[in-house]
Amino acid sequence: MGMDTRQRRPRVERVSRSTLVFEQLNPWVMFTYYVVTIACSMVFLHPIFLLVELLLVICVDFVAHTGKQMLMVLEGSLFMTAFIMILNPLVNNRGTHVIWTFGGTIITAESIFYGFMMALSLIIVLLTFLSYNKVLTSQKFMYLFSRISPKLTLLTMITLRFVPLFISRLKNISQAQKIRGIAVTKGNSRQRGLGVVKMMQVLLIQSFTDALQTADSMSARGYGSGKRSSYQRYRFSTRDFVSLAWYLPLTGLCFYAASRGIGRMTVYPSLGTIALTPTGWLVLLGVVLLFSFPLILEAWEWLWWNLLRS
Amino acid sequence: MVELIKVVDFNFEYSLAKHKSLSDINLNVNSGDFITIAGDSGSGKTTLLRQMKPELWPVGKRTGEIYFEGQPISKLPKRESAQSIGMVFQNPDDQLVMDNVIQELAFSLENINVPTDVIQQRIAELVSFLGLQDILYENVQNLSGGQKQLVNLAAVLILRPKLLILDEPTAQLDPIATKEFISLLSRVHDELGIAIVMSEHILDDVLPLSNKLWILEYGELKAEGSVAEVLKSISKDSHLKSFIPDVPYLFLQEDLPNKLQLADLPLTVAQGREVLQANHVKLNGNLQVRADESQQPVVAKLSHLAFEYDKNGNYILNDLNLTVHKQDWLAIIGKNGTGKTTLLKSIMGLLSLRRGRVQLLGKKLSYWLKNTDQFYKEVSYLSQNPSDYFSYDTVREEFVERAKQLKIDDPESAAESMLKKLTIENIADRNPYDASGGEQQLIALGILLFSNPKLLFMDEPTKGLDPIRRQELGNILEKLQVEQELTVVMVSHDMNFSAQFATQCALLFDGKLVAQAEPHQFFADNFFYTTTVNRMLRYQLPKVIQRGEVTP
Repeated sequence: MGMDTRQRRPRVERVSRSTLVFEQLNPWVMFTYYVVTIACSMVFLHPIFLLVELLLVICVDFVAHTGKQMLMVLEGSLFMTAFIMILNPLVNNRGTHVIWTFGGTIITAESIFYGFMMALSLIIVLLTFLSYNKVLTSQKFMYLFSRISPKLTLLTMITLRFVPLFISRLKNISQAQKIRGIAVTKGNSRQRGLGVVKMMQVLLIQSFTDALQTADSMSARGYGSGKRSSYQRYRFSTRDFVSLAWYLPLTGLCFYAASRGIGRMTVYPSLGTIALTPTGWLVLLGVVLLFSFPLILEAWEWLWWNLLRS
Repeated sequence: MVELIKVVDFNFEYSLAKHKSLSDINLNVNSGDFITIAGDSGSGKTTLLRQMKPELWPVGKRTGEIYFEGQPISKLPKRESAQSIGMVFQNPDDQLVMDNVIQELAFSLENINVPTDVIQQRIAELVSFLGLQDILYENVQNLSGGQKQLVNLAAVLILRPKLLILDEPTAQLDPIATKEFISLLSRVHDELGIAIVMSEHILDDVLPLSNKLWILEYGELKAEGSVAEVLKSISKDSHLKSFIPDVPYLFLQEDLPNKLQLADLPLTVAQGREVLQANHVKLNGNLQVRADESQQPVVAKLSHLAFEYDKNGNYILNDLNLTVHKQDWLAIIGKNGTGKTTLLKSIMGLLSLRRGRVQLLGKKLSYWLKNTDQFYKEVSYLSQNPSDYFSYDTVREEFVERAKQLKIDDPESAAESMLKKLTIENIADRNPYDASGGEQQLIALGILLFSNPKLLFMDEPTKGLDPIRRQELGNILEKLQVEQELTVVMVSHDMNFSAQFATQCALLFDGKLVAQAEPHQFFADNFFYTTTVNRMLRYQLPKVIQRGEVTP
């Protein structure tokens, strides 16, 4: 099921094993990077920070060769930004700089601005997941978590597999339902709502049945039958230690700064200043270093091959 | 010869079920066996196979005992069972867990805690044996159905099982991929000495490899023994005889094994033809030439269709032309991935054509897309996945609600007569999702037939159906074709079905429809792409294409 849509895609050319130096690190180091990256994008709510972070995440995605997907996400995020920037002021009336009022709703500059920052932060998270998907393969994911909880890992992996399946399947189901006269784009809101509910029901039932078979296939091949080994040995190398030795303390410092309000712009009750203090600039530098961890490794590799090798 | 599996007086009843799913089963599997299990959907094939793999035991009440190498199978440690008994399932997609092929192979070995260097060695060895080196780093989602199933098999073989269980592994594959998969299985059996137990609907390719055949019916073992014996014993059964592949069927129908004192029952085209030629057997052909509908009005006219998925992509359809007349049954035949589904979806307006004109029932597609309500009533489309059409909790409810939606008077009795017409009254109060693949196909068809469509498009209607359901589906559609003047256009890789029922056949290749003709003309002109009967008999009866046309 859903096979027809996927089968017909042209075959991708053979993917080389690792495109990034970053991918050769221990999965725990990579995982740390992604946790810190996502946390930073949510903590440092400041337009300068967010824009710089966005730029760096795009760079990381670019070197990780997620090109086409990245463009799609960026395209979609334009709409999302607009959507959040409109929605937030409608439901949130806080702030002092009133721009416009209509029918009892007050639109404030603060809420529009806050919406903008939330959208940016969300886009950064989405873009981060693009390279995450590429870099942290299911094998590495399993290495990280199967020892902690095999059942939870199994569940997560099956869920993650679902996302692309869901999309192609939803398309097929909506087409089939349309043909049998249950449409989600026609009729009054009750009929439409009913159509959507029906469709989701079909989608969930089908997905569950398939997930059962995936789980069967996994347990038939001995998953959860005791201790696992790992095909790829992920040793903790000197490189991993050196990486963490600067990465973790720097993370600590940045978050400490954030807890003191540095790098976070006051929005409510009244818009603060966008300008950064000298400490602010310093923290920004720290965040830049944190975000560009994969880029630094890549740059070093380039230097070594092109200049230092003699 | 070592006895691997011994099943003694085994009964099984699913919890909440009213009757037994398996009753009084006594069987054994020896180390050199290649066993095929046949039986219609719901006869208990999957249930029986799962009993041989304790990790996959369904919930329910079991009595009797199953032994693996002399030990009760329930006592078999999980790890031991994972290694010794391998299982491959029907759906190629759902069994893949990891991102790429090498990880998928490693996954099995990691689970049983094999050290890294041994994993590498075992992968290297298996990859060379199966020739997987070219797709080793390929993302599994980009593989074709046949390749996926090959990877699934590899991921089980790498555990070095003693017994390999396969549950309809080729049901979702096209004929070419099926043949490749089965020839690989024969290598696995002959070269590695792994015992195989496999359930199948279409037995043509597997029987020549099997040494035993089991037939299940209503959870009971109806026949068991060597392939020839079992085929002979079911040839008297009006119901089960549809499972017999064409070559042995014709020999048994003509009673040739007795008349010619044959030692073996021929199973392949080559064997069959050799015996016939050596003994100068003359068979009578009685061609069932299809009615010529070309004087009837045109109901679908496609001109110069072109389709591509991406800008600058390959043309999936390229300058395709087609004319279909009223009451025609057109079969579009072609390998998977040639654009058969794309063609149907774009005719239905579900995909946008790059170029070309589609005229259905005398009106342009653009007109229909403005009046979709009327469109989907008069022109219907049954996709490959019938469960996409379900919306309610019982089959009866599906039908009643559909009748209400179309404002048919007395929806209950309309639903009742539809159930009867499709011969699925027995499952009226079941959940449509619990129905077998063939039944699901009929349920979805029923939902669509309420609006009395004039034109019906079907995508692989026989995929995964057992021969009995296949026959039923064909008969139902044939009746509609005559009584309600229905026109059917189906895409299929099932040549036997097309040869038996279609009035017109065409081959889809390179984005175009080539060689549209009456089935006898079509298949007689083909050398590779033709039916088994035609291949065996073409030297004496060049136009005979299906078993029904050979008369005693």
